[in-house]
Amino acid sequence: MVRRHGCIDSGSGLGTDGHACWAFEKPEEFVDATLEFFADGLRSNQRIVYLSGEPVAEQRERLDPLGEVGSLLDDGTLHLLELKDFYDLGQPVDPVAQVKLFAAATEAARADGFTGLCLATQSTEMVVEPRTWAAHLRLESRADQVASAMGMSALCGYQRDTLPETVLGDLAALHPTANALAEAAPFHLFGEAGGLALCGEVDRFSTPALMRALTLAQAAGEPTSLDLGALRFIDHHAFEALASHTHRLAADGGCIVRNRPAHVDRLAGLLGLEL
Amino acid sequence: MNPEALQAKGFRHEAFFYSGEDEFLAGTVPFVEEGVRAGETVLVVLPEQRMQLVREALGSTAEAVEFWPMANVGRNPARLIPAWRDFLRTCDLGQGVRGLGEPISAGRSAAEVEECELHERLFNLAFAKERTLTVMCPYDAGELGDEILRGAERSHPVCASSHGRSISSRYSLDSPLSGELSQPGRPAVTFEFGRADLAMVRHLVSQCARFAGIETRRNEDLVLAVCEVATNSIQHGGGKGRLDIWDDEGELICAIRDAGTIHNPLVGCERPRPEQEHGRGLWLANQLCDLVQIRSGEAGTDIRLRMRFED
Repeated sequence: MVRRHGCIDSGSGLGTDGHACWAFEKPEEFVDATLEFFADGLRSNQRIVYLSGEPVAEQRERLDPLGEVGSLLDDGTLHLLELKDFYDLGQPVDPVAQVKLFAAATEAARADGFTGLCLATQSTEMVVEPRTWAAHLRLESRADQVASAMGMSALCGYQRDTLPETVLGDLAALHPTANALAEAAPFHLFGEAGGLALCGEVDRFSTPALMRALTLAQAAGEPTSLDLGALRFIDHHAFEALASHTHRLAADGGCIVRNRPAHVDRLAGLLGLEL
Repeated sequence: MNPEALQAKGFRHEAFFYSGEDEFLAGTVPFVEEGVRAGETVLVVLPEQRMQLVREALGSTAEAVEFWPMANVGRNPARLIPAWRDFLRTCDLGQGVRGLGEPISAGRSAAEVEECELHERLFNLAFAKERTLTVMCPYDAGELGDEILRGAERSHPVCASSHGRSISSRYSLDSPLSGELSQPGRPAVTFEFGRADLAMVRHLVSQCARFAGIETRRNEDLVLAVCEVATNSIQHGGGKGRLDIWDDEGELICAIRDAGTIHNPLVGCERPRPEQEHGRGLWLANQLCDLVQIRSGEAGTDIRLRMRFED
């Protein structure tokens, strides 16, 4: 397991393939995390991109503590972008098209001499309308799987009072890292080595969330893998649900389960079930 | 069901009281030999030393007998019924099956003895419909106390000794899970939990177990067992429960109490069928812990999961 995963309390140290869900009460909290995140990006010679609903002038002011913002903008290191220029806010996103855009932006950064892309998105305005949630969750999962393989790191901000706790939990679960959302997202399902990895803890009451995450992340017909090396705990309810899921996939594309911890093997033996 | 009816149906479960090696062998070896001669499948589940005695006394007849050390299969006596059930599946029931099993022997803790007695009572319920199963349970009357022997009379329809066999007047099948467990020691941890608190339940159990020197596999096993039982409290025991953790004589004890009532006395003692919706949590707990004690009545349910500090 290479990518950082689990609960975080800072925007720094996520790595050049990091992907974090950052829930906040006040926009300033997300800006503080972004400044930490961008400081790492600059040290790694990534292009840093800030995307939010605020006008560019306001974004520039918020990022002032970075220092030399004018030069960073002039030499193409920093890009400031407004959500309305890229999205039809209030409408569901197209996850496939969006991920292609991320890939192209990362390629462009590389072509310009950077090591990759460091993208902070204050995404709240993208998910105000409930009809946008399903596509947005799919986007987060798909982007995570692609980003992890192409040298893009991302910090995704969501204002807490905009989203129900369940949706926020589902979003956090589809990022490898999240801030202070252990209760809402006791596990994370994220891209790893061309497949998926499941970390954290899953019990009876988080099993429905795990199934939602798996269904979003592992589309039928796409062969994939699931790495369980960082799964600390799973109870029999969650194990049986996971087994049903992998068996369904086996009939339609297949799912290779990797790095099963000893506790998972023992539970499998006692239940007489295989993954 | 009265003892006569049990005997008439062909399920025989009798206690055999002996004192000393000679009486032990004089009662058990002919019982095994009779089964082998009749073409029955015979299983012997005894403490290691007495198992060797029987094996040697049987001579070449031992080759026709299956031997299981009690320490392996019955360390937690609640694992004995599923083990017997598995064994019966391998037998030609038409030819008859005979068993010799001594779950209670000197060296068992008080809690283990209590659960062995419960196992003996549940055995009657679990196998009441078997028509060709004969089981003898030896009790060392020279070593075990009177209360344990009276317990054997309550749990076996028939009792035998060197003086003969008789129907037990104390035999009873009433409410095996009723009654109360001994009062706990002073808990090191007490935690009232609900649906949102299972992660904390796991954390507390894991930390206490680690502090007691219970690490890695056994730590994970205890955490899983307690989490399964706590989940039952939330789902079936009124939505909440209480966890107490304390240690006693080299064991860590995690007690889960809730307001629910368990109606199936064999809960946790039968391997769940694949299509079965419930019943896996307590069954798993029994496979994972050194001992699980379940008491339940109208006032609620009290479950204690015990793990020795050393394996």
